[in-house]
Amino acid sequence: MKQKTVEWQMMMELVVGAFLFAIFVGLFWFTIVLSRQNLFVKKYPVQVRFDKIMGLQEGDNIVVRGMPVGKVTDLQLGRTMEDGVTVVGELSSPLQLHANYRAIIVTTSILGGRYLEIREGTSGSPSLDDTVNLKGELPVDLMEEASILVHDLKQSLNEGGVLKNLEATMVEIRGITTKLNQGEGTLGKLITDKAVYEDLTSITKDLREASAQVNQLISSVNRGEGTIGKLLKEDAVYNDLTRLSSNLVSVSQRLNDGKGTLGKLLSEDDQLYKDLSATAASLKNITAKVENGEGLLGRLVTDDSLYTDAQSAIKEFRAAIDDFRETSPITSFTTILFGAF
Amino acid sequence: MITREPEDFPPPRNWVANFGRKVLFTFRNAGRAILLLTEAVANLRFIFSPRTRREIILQMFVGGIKSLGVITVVAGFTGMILALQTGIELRKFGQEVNIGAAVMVSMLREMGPFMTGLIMAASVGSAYAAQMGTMVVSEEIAALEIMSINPVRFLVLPRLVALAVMTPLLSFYSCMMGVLGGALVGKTQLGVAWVAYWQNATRYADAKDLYVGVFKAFIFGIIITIVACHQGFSTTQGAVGVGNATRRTVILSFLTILIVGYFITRFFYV
Repeated sequence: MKQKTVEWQMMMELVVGAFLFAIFVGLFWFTIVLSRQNLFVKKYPVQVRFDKIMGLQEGDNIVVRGMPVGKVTDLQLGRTMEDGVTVVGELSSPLQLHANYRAIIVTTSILGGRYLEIREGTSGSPSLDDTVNLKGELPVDLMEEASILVHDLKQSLNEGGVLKNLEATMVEIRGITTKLNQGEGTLGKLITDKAVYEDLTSITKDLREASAQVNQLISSVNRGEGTIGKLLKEDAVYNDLTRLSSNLVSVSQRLNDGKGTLGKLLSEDDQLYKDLSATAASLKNITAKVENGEGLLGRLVTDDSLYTDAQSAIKEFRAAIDDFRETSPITSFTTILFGAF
Repeated sequence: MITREPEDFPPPRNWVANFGRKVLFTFRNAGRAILLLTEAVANLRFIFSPRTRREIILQMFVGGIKSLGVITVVAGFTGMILALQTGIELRKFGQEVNIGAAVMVSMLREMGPFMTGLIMAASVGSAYAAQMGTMVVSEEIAALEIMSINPVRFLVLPRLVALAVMTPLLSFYSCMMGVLGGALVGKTQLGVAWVAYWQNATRYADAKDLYVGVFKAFIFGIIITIVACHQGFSTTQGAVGVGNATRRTVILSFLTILIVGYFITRFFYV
């Protein structure tokens, strides 16, 4: 009986002891996990001085290139305003900072939460020693910025006359909408008049058809049909055009050089032009005389009696010829007859 | 001195007197409970004596190890419910992966110690009160005192130490069960991978949450023991009195756990 009691006692102690041991091991492991401390990894301290830290807290993340690499371990308030606040942190990996580094406190979300972001700087900039005290930039306080924005907006609304302008604009808009409702103007008719809508529909339909035709035309051109299509697609047309262009260049060159009749006409030497002008003047003079009825040509053109005389002369001449034609057989017979003798 | 002469007060003359008497009795009982605790703490030097040590281990086994089953089920399902309810709402925003953080922080800060406290009060505290009450009504406590055996050292001290040690450990255990239950629901119902759940759970909770929760459970263990022993020692009127003592123990323990839990949270987080 006593033996059984002892065994029971031992079993009980064993179970309780095992449970306690297991729970304590779990607690130890969980403590390490939750405190995010790795006891076997070397830590690299970092210190950044800020003028103010906008609620950054111990335990907040330190982020480099978007990756959390450490934690804020301590915050030290300087004795004077100029001393600001020194943020002490531990990094899991060393950083090579350059002269144009930046240390900024970033707001995680609009609901709160912050982290310290360190930007290492560009490699072209000189490197910094590990002993250099880093200086952080003033963080952007979203609430402060929002408050300034609201203040500016309010000021511009009230003092800048924006509100009055808005009111005036609203009155005008109201007037426009009233007119629209009443069907005044093109837009109003468009809204209220069904005929305008139908016209627009018809125009749209026409436009659609025109668009289809244009598409068809473009397709034809793309297929190389027609003059423009051939122009775009066939090399021969292009070559002809090139040749034509070249010829035009050559012709214009000849004109510029004063070669040929046209060239001479266009050249700086005005001789041909003067000759032509003189010829034109003479022609003008002659035609004037003709019009005035001077000379044979002028009388011929202007005097009807000359025409009448000429016509009667021709008639008489024709009658004489006819007479001669009628008498010619008798003459011939007489000649032959008397020729025999 | 646990054994006291029966009290015989004249009936109150009106409801004001009745109310005043109840308030005074409440204060007196609170004072007696605190004195009981003080006496138990004063006897802490005896915890390494062989007999007390054996008794402590027995109480740890009875109060702690035997409660593992119920704590596993309650904590596991609490974690599952938490994960499911939170996950259903978070899924509307595509943030169901955050159930890990919700379950872990809730369990560590509040639900783990609170649930463990309630389970221990209901199962172990009520048993303590019934045992003490029975010993009082059968005059065993009086017999101990006649034999110059200190009932506080003999009965209260081992139970106090056992529950003060076991409640925080069981609280941590219940947290783990709750987190495991949440992970199970996350994986099977919400499609949250184990690794994502665990990473999210450990990202937002920290060691302070764990140890404040453990500290709460430690205080709850002390409260349960003292309330139960005090109610047991205050038992009168035989078997009916034992039942009343058990009932009062559970009610008072629940209320005290809630009130003290609030103030501990306020002290550490506000």
